[in-house]
Amino acid sequence: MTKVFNVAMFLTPMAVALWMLWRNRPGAGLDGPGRLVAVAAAVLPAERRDWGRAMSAELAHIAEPGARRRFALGCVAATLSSPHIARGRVPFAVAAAAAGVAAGYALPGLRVFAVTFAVLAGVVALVTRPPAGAGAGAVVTLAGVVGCVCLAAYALAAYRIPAGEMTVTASVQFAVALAVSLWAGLLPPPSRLVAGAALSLAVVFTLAVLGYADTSNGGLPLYVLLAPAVVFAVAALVAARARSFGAGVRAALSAVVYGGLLVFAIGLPLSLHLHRYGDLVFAIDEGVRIGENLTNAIVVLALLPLWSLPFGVFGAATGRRLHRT
Amino acid sequence: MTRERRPSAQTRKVLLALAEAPAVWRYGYELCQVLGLKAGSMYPILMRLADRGLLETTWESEAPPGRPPRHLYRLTGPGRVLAAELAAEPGQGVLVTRWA
Repeated sequence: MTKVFNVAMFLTPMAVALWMLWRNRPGAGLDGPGRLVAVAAAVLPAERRDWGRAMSAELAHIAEPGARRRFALGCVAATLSSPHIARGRVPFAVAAAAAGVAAGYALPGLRVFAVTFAVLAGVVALVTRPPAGAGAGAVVTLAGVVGCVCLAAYALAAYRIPAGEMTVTASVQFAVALAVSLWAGLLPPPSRLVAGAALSLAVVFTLAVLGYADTSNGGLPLYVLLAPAVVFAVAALVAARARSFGAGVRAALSAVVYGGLLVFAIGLPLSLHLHRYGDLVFAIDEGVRIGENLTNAIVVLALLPLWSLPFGVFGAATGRRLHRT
Repeated sequence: MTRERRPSAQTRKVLLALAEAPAVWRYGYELCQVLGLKAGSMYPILMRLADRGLLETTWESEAPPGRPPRHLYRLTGPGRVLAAELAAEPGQGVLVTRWA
């Protein structure tokens, strides 16, 4: 019963956030062709946004329903086949995949992770359309992803964690979390306001998690409540300031990704260090084996952003509403 | 040494059509209609031409009330030169576009 309650607690905010994202999707309130073109325009890379606006504006001048439908379908095809300037994306994904494969080659415990991550990094390289030149966010994210792989490899080697401790579930969770981070880092750079807020939020998020991670007094670690509260507040502020729901969501996404990587990068060495003294950081139960510090850090890396992001969506919606009123 | 790719047949049509009245700004749907090209072909061509500096773009200054301004296109100097070279190629014939 408790398990069902926990799953429901985890999934309900996500379901509500997805519904809010759907309601605020590009083209909401338009007719079918208008929605199609709005979605097509929204997925164009940053330097092609003018072309997306051009297609939407053109459609607004076409009255005949059949012609509108044909033009909208053409715009979708144009978006899918548009010549995109992809400098930087393949080297980034290849660098990340190479770090994963090298770690997997050196350490048997990381082999499942290495294969999964190499495949996912390839998919990220294919589906993302970042702007020309690497933004600072992309560089920071790549450094964070490679750093996390190196840290996991270090933990396995230096603390002689048996390969079997890195289970298939933990390996896949680690690969998915890092691939999603890589994808988010390769998105077109947000505005200075969003980037600044995301970075500050990531630092506060990390402090909140690490400062309240101790579970030695029993019960739920406080960061499970603090992290979403911080994400909610900053997403609301950004959305109100930028007058944009999307800007708030984007700030929350960047922040939970940077924050997740930062929590892992600081928390894992800290937990391994404290383990020597019988203290715990990410432990869920008392008396953990040393390898559990790694798998628990992976669980936090994978699930904490997922748990916190819906509250960023709520914050963005609240901020947008506050600005209207 | 860089090698220029020869434009596709559809790109030639767009270049030659725009070169007929090079000073006039055209909009995307108008080009689609007069050249019989779908938006899915036209916009990638326009994007490539703009990327290569052959096409200049601007926004309509006076849009009809209640409608957003359209994106307008015309050839740049190098675009006109390329169009003139293409028009002079043997077997090209004379293209007359029926503008609305």
